[in-house]
Amino acid sequence: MSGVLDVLSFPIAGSANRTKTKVDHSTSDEALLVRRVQAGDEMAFRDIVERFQAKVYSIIYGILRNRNDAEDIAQQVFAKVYFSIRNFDFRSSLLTWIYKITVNECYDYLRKKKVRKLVYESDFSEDDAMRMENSEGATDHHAPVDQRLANRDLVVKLLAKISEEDRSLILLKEVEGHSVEELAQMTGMNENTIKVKLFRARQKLLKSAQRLLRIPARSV
Amino acid sequence: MHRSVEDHIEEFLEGRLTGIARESFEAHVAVCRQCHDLALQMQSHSALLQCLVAPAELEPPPGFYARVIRRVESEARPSFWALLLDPVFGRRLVYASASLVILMGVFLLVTEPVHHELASTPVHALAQPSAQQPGHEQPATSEKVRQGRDSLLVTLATFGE
Ligand SMILES: [Zn+2]
Repeated sequence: MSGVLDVLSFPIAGSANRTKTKVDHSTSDEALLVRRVQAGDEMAFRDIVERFQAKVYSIIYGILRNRNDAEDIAQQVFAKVYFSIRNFDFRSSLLTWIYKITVNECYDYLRKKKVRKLVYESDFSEDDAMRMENSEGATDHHAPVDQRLANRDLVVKLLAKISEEDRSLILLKEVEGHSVEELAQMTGMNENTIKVKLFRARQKLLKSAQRLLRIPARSV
Repeated sequence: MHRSVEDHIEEFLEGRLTGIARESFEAHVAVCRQCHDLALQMQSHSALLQCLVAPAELEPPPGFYARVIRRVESEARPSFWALLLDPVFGRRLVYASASLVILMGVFLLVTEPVHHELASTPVHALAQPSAQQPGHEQPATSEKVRQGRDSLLVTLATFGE
């Protein structure tokens, strides 16, 4: 099997400055803010909205690429935060909790709309395409816009095939760029659990891709 | 996928696989086609997922908090149909309806003999003209009707509590 390593390229090593300290989410500043909201303090709720609105809006726009939908779903996310914050149990960070709600709301929306060709309904304009060209987030800057839209369509469909928990975890890892250690801190799970969950989620994504693209199945 | 590769796939995808772990990973994928292909596919999916990264951190249009509060207020007001679907309220409604039906049944049973007596024969009816006059009901029947009404009102009042 000579030459296989030429195909399997090793990514460039990232920063090694990572901490393994377990975070207690019940004593942080965020926890105090949450407790104030749980006690009915509207100003604290306003703080939460203002602190996370850009993040929530960006996550939704990243998935749907439609500003009207992003606004509508972002409102729905915070309404959900308002009504269910009394159930927030401080096991994960507030961001992780809001992130899950946001991704779930996006997929609820997609289910309700039964979006088949998401890319054609998006308001992905030339302007967006230009911005994507210049953003660090874009993968292949030289890929044609059509190809990138088709890739987005495929990714959104594949993510629809896995559980809510797997979906959030994969997105936090790949789209938000959190490391395994950071995910362990954010979710309150240990690193091994995170690794196992990520690996299984990746396997499910591959199987879904094989089914969707009708690639002959290999043992995954 | 074999354990030695599975254990390090996240570090590999993050680009943090170094030293002995990297050597052992490379050595394995060099001889195991299955792990090699799987690592390759996972790497390409990882790259594919980058297309969901938002072009930049975006802010919602001004006045977002006010719109959120309007949404909260509109969702806080439950509709009549949503109230019916509420399990606790729905169960109470069923009990109340059942109680009402039973009470109405009792009420009708109590009042039934009066009507039966009045309508039994035209002769009877003509023989007791005063019984049909308003305000001239037989005292015993009137008492039973009043008791029936009272118990109905008490039940409805206690349900509200
Ligand atoms: Zn292997």
